[in-house]
Amino acid sequence: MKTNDILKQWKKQKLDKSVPDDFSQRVMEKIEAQTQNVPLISSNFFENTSSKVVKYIQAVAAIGMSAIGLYRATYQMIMILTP
Amino acid sequence: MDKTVVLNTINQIKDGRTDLFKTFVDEYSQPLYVFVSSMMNNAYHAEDIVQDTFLSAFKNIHSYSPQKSAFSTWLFTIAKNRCVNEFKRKKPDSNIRVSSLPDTSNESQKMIDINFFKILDNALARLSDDEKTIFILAEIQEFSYEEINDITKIKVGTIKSKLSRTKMKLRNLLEEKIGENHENK
Repeated sequence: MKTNDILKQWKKQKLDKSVPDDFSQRVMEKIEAQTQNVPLISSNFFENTSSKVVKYIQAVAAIGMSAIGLYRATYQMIMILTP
Repeated sequence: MDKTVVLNTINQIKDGRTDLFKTFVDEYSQPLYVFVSSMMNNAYHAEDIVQDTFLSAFKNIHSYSPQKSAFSTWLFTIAKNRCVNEFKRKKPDSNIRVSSLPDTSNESQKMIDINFFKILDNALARLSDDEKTIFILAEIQEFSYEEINDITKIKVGTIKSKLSRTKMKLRNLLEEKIGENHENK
């Protein structure tokens, strides 16, 4: 099989990709919702939100760990300084 | 789509006939989908980006200037910017790894094609944003250099040289893989 034929077929299969049948309808529903100020949720929302939740948990965990560290250091200091 | 029809439709949409925006969605969904799915190498993301493109176009229809560009190139510019933003956010799906082609003695010709297509998809995903955009618009969707200039704002001379380099790169890669395939037989 020759390079030109492969390239030609590759381009053709890209052009053959088609949007789902109900695509226009879904877009128009979103547009109508937008004109009525209905909040929209895209698939990216879940991705962004989940990463934010993970960051939040990490931050909370980091603060928690620091708090434990601070508590331990203070406790040890008190133990050393107490006659 | 005729320029007068486009402008007429836009004016009616501005006057509140939002339902007429469907004319544009019906007309441009397919070419935008081909462009975005080729850019992203991911059908699911492509659908989302094309939807966002239309939503953004609808929202900003008041800022569209027919003197500056055709409506279709304006839509493609929005889609291109969305794709580039998505690239910045995260790398496109280039997880198709085809290090070597399978022994094709028992494989159908269709399987060989699919493997070559995967190699080309992978190579396309690794191109720079500009190279990829230019290649898809010029070679797959057959836009003129002037239209590509309208969409990308890249000079025509640069478009030509980048396109020529990309075509050479893909052709060389393919020839190399075809050579490997023959050696493995």
